[in-house]
Amino acid sequence: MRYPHYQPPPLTRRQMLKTCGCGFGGLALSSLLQRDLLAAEPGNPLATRPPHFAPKAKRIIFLHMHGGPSQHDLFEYKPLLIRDDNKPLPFAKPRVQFNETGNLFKSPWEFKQHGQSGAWVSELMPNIASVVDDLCFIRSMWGTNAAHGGAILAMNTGSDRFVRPSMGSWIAYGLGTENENLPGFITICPSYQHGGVQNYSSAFLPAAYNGTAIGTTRMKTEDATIDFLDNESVSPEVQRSELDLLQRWQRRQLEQTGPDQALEGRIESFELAFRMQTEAPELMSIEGESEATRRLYGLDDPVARNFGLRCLLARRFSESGVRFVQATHGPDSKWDHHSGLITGLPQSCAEVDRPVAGLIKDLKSRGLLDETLVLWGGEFGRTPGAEAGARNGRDHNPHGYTMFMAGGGVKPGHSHGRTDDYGYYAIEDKVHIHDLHATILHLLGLDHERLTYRSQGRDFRLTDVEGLVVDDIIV
Amino acid sequence: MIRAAPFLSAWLAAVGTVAGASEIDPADLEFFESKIRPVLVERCYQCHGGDPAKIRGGLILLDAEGVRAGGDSGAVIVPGSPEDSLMIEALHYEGLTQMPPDGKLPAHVIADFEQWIRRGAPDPRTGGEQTVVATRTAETFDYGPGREHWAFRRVEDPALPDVENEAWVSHALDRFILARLEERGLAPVAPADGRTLLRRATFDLIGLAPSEAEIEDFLADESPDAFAKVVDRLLASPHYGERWGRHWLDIARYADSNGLDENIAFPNAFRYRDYVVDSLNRDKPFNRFVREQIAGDLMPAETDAQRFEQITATGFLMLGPKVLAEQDVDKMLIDIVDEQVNTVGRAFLALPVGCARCHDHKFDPIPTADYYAMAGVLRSTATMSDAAGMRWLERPLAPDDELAEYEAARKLVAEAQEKVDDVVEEQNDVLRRPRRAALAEYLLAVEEAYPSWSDDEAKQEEARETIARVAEGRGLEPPVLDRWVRAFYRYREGPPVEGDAPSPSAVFVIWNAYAAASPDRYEEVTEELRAIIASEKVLTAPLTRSLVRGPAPKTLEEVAWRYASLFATIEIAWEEHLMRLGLKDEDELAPSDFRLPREQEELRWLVYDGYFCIPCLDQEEEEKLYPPEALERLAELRAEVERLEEASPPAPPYAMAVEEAEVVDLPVHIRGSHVNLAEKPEPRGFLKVTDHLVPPPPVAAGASGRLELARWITHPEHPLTARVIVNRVWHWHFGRGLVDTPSNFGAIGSEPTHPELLDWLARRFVEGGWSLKNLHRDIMLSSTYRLSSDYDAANAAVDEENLLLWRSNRRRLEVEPIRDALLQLAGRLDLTIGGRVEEYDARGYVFGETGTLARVDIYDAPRRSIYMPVVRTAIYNIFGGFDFGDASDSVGDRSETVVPRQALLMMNSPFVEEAALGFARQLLEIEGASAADRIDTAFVRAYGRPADDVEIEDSLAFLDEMRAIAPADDTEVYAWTRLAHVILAASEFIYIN
Repeated sequence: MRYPHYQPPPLTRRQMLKTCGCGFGGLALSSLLQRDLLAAEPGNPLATRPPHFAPKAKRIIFLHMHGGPSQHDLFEYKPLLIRDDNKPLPFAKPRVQFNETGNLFKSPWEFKQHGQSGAWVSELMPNIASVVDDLCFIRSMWGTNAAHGGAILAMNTGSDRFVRPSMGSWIAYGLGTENENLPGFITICPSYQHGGVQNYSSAFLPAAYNGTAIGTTRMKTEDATIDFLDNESVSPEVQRSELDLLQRWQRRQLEQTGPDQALEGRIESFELAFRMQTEAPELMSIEGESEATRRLYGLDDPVARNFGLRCLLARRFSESGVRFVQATHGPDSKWDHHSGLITGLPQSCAEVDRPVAGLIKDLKSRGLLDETLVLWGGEFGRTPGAEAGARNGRDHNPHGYTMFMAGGGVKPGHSHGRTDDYGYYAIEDKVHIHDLHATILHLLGLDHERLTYRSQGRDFRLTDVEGLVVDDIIV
Repeated sequence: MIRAAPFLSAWLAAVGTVAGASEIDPADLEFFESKIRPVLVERCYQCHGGDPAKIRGGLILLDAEGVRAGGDSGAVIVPGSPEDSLMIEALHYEGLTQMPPDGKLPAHVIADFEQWIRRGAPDPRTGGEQTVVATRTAETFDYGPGREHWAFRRVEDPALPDVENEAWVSHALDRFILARLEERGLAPVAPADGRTLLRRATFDLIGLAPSEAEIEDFLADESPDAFAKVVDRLLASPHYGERWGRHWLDIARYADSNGLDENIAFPNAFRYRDYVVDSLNRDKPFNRFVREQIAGDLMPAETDAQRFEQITATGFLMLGPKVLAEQDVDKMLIDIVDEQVNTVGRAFLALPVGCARCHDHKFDPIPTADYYAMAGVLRSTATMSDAAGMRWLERPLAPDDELAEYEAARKLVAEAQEKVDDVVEEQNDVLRRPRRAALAEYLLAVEEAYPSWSDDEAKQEEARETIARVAEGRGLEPPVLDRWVRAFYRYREGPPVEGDAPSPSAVFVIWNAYAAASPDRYEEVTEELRAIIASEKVLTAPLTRSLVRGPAPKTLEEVAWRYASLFATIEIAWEEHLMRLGLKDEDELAPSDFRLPREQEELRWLVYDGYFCIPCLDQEEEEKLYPPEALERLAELRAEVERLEEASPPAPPYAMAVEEAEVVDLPVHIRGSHVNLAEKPEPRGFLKVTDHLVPPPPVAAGASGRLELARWITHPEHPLTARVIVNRVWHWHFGRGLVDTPSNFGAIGSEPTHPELLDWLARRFVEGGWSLKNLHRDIMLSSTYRLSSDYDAANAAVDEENLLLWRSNRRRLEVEPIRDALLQLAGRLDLTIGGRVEEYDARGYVFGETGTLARVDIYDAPRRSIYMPVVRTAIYNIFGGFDFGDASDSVGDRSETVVPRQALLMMNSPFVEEAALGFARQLLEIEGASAADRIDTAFVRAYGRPADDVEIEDSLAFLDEMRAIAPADDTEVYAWTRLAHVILAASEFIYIN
């Protein structure tokens, strides 16, 4: 049987989401459906989707510091912590703590004010100090989970208890992709610990919005690859021959079966996959990057090189239209300084200081910083008191900590919120993780209350039933 | 009185909109509900809410009256005039009163309040907000309207509909399908041909492709019951349980690791999996299957084997992901209960019961009180054996006497081992005591021998000679000095030491500084050291800081003696500590008692037994120094340990399983918060929405109520249980259920397309003894099941989605049959049933990269996919590529996506590449076949049909093309592998028509 005049009928939205989540990670399989149909259905998740309102940022890069960096030794200058060093905390500690903490512990490192904005940065982050006027600090972050797994899941998915779609998946779902040959959400060297894949999974959102992982956090970045991107057994020419035969047979089958969305989609998916396996490796190669750029990211420094490469890849993907790129600094829990703070923290800082500053400078010089939101931080901060036993570590502290953003419509050289005089609890203009998510979505032009997906009989949101946009940090 | 929860959201608050709302302009109401109420609830009610003990400033903001009345400071708002309203002044932190006191509200929220007051402060709340926060109790909740929903009505016994085309009907169920088709003027398409039908049925029931012989036999069998015989054969296959067991494992959110925050292996989960496979193979009545999974441990058992089987079944309740590192144990336990309630609700009842944890269900007749009644049952059930220690319950599957025998044998082994340890400890102490006493000598010897040491192995021989010479010169043991030198080399030249271990380098910072300087600089060095210590930028062990107090040392010997006396104080402290421990009851001692305070431990650790001990040789080396009589004694004792080990019976198997716990009734947790409880506990019980059909079994005072819960769910008149499973089976056969939301029969779920058929099947299922195999027979022997998937434009014009089943749905296979079929075609599939593929570290972490469970090579086992470990957070990439899901949640309908990642997987994965190679070899092994024959066979094996002329021609041409570029030594295998690769990548291989 033949159907020469066959026109594919419009899919229902649910059918489309369920059967045609055409993504490599999440990208448009635009020719799966005829273009006029795409245009006819503005809610089609496969194509670039208009935001709810004019966005400030088009893309986001999240630099995740796994383990929970100590704000007291990096960005939080608290004279009272210095004055009352070694004394007990003068107010109550939280009901539930992770470990026992002792007396207050002033930072062993020196702080100075930097830039026009006069932001305090410790001597451990000299390069980040040089770009403070581009940064927007949130000094009053807070959450509720004091354990890594829960806190990282909360940071990435909004929930520390349920399996929920990750922030990157929500954003890919909300906005689609800008480059049909690439995923909408890439995570560079994620950790398998503490939620692992759930931190970049699409959960009940269609598989199209899954984050595409490149390697894992324990790897040398050079060795990180995307699964199944090349076949070592055959040359591209042979693969093309195979594909030609395959497609001929598949088209023939389609003629025999009559209209079938899935079969058609599958034919198209092979073409797309073929293109993708050319484009992605090109993006992952930094051969074309200048010596100056490489130095900017610290690739010449063996200590900074590994994370430097992750940041550089993040820029390359972002620049090519990937909506959400996450780069994880590792290996696992690299910032979890319960002990070994005095030797460990300078090491962690040396690994990220140049790459992070380099990324911000690079984006700025390329004119990309305005439309790219950079987010830096861990899953929580640390306590002002020393962890019990020695003045060489700090415990987890989700009750008040610091993150910073840059570009993408946030105020440069700005500081938002405050913790108490010792940096334990956020007390002023508190920003919950839900608020952070609401704000990020807002910057991308998405209303976090309208970005919903129905599953199990309920409309879900990244921000659950919470979340307030932090207007104060927005330009 | 119920206190307002501190974190109430807009969404929840809006649930309880109360009288008065109707008088307010809808836009104002919307504004209040979305902008004002949430902030009042979250930021104000704590001090201005319903709890009289907590009211501050006499101001109650619970309702419109309270807001208007103001507080001790008078009126707080002047409607229409924000600039005159005290509330706004307080929000701006401008005056004496600054609210909320724990932090200024964001500017946009303050602006909202200004606008609200400008609008005249419209406020729908009357009579206090408690009504909003409180949940309705079961007594006051009106189930009536909810019970009208189709799924809560009695399962009917509908009459068989009349149809025009009687000839098409081969089973009573066809009447229900045909009647609807005829009603809409549709006609079913032609039946599927034999090959298609056999392939469909075989994949459907056992998840494997039919063999060539099976195809031949079926095509040759012209008897009217040919297909019935096939169905019977497949249902009798032990692979039936694997195929349908895997479906059930989706519902049971089966996994071999915890996932969530701490991904620890579930080494015994596989016993539950095998239980499921076995139960389905035996066609265990479904009601019994359900009961066992909820309360198998409480059901009577005639034999030990049955008792263990039933205990294993309760693994169903255990398998959920748990936040194992949750520091708040109460929260962890109630979260686990919540996961169980939710899963039980979804799996058996297709109801999202979990929604009622925080509030009365928004759509379904489930008040929060009912949720907590059910949660009480599970809270009275033990899931964790040690919540703080992240240990879930595992129960031995051995008779009590065997268990006692095993434990007794282990005790003997442990006692014998202890005697060995005693001798070793004693002898080691004799050897190590003098080494500790000679600490100063060793330190000085290190400096003398150190310069000779190097990383370069070529130079180490010479270095060892130097060390031996230095040691002998000072009367020290050469191997011990060797260890000291290497330890210092590591501390001085190696990377900084991180983590929880005491840092040995921190102990010797001071020594290193003096050793590096000439004694005439010791004054300066002392000053520098004091500065470093004060700055804390270099880590120094606190106790060593005393070494730089007082006058500076004059010689390195003096520094060495200072160190020696410091360590001597540690030796004394330790001896005293041991003496004190000796006074205690041995049973009360914990491992942590064998430690000094951390600052002392940091030093002790370096010279006493253990990983960090410097002057301790390897045990083997130490024993060479033992006196002969000690060695003899040791050999005897070790032989005894070995003898007892051999005599000890093997460890009994354990299963993840629940048991009864202390019985407790739970109060409603307001907003789901475990620290905000209602006063009155809800008696343990079940959902009352079905009380009109199923009399709730009374829960005995001392029992959790699990057995009663199981009975309630499997009551023959329960309106959900049978409908739900019948629909699931239909869904797994047809790719779409009669209800398209198989795990949600609630108000938000879909309505059944054929309600009468659903009821007819459910009744028949229950009355026939809950047999799944009979249900398969009913379904598969119908004309409906046997339809082809042919397209028909006229039908499609009326029913594009095929909701009425005028044809069969073309479906993509799930990943398990795809993988199994690939192995099958490669001739590699191992059809062993049950057991575990890999031994794992019990409760070990699973990281995907290094964890035992997730090492990539364990997926290389050519076992059927159901036996591949399911590692949450690191799902096997082949599974992940084809919609396996994340295994954390009960899944009733897997997605069926078409994404380029799958194309990449088929094109490039080594797994498919290997399968193609294996397939090619299998084809080449056929004796005396022409190329065309081999191609034909390839098509039959992969697609269940021979190749047509075009395909043969195409293939032959492709083979030639490939031969031309193939490596000379392997031309045929190469060319056929490429062709096989194409055949396997094609849609026809992974779709069933």
